[in-house]
Amino acid sequence: MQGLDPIAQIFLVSTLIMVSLVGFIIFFVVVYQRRLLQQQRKMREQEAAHQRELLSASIQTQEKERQRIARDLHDEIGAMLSTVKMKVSQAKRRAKGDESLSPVLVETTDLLTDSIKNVRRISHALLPPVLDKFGLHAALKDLVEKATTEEGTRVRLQIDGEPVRFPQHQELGLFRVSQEVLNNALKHAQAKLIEFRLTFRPEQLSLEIRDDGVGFDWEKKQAESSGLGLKNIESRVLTIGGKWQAESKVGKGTRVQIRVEMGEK
Amino acid sequence: MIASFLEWFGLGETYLHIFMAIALLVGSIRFRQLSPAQRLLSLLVMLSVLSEVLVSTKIFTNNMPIFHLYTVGEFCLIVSIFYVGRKDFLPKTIFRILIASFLLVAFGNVLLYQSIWEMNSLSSSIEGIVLVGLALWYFYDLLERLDMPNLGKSFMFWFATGVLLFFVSNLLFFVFSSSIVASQWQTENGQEIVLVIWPMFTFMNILLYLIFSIALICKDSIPSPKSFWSAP
Repeated sequence: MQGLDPIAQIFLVSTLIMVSLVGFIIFFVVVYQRRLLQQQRKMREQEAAHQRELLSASIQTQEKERQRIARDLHDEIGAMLSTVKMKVSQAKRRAKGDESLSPVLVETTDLLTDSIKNVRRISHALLPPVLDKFGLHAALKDLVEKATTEEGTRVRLQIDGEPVRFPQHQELGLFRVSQEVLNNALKHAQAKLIEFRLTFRPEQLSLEIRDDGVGFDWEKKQAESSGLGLKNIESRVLTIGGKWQAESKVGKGTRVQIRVEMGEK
Repeated sequence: MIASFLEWFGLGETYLHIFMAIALLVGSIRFRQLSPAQRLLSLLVMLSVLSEVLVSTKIFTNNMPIFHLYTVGEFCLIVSIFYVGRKDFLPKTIFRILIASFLLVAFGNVLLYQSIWEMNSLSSSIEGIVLVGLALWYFYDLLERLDMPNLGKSFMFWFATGVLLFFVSNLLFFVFSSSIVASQWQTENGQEIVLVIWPMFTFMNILLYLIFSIALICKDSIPSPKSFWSAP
């Protein structure tokens, strides 16, 4: 600077000032855009967390309502139907000689027996008492047995590790996912074999469900609104703080894997 | 090389007038669609054009009174734009204090220090310092609030950019050069230096009016404080 004449000095310094100012504005815009993106990402995360909380609350309310209906069905309607059946049996004994009344009472008893069975079935489907009393592995055994007998498709369950109890909401969530996946496989997959594999590790539970059915285009199904079952599974898994992955290809079956850490969420 | 570059600036005045005319035209054509803050900017451009016309026509033998009045008008309008253009940026009390204090400084300067026939360097420098401070404060506020999704389309961003670029360079040109001019005024270089500074000042003016034109093109939807028009 010392060697330069004053005009060059002024010119140089002025140019430097202008370039610095323009640089400052560019730097500001870059920093601003970066912070704006960070803020937007943070807001999206908060929104997603809020959505998850809402979903979780909604699922919890749904489960409570199911429990209440199951209890009411079992304890009140079931008990009432049993009482009516008892009364009809008494009436049947008294009307033994009455030939016009007897067949009606026999028919009524049969209808009542069916109704009691149905009420119990619906009540157990809403809230399997096995799940509550003995845990997920027992409830899955029950589910698998019933599925095999009802649909004819072979359904197998393999349990690895020593079964331990997990928090109720996690067991219930995994059970509901199992019901959903099994239901989908039986309804749409035309599978001959559906396999459940439940693995207990310290503080971690992993459930894998695979079938040898027709499979589907996973990405296409996810984008469609008809992929509601998949969204339900996702919601359930998120609600219990689990992680899941699934794969399916046309003609190559479907595989769903869920991992849950004990006490998450 | 520098000399030839500076020769180019010989045409600076003409270019400046073209850019001023563009800003004036944009402001006038879009005046009905402009937000209150943009209308104030449009008024500022009109004021600049008016002073330029008055200076160019050489009606007055001494143009300094025009500069004195222009400085006051420019300061009031720019501070008002910052007040109106960004919600909750400039509190009403600070806005009033700024305007009142500057009026006091400008009139005090005329009465006690630099008469109306002299260059008002004191009030111009104070104006520059305050406006640069406001522009920097605006950028800080923008960074804190992050409420502008697209800076390129924001009237206030362009306006503050123009104010910052113009007044910082303006202040530094004069501070830096005045010391050299003072020490070398008696030498050959003295007057040549002034001839160097002037084109640069003109260039910054051109940049300012270019940025103001962009600001006037932007669609500004920020509501102004309700009490503004009755505030001062």
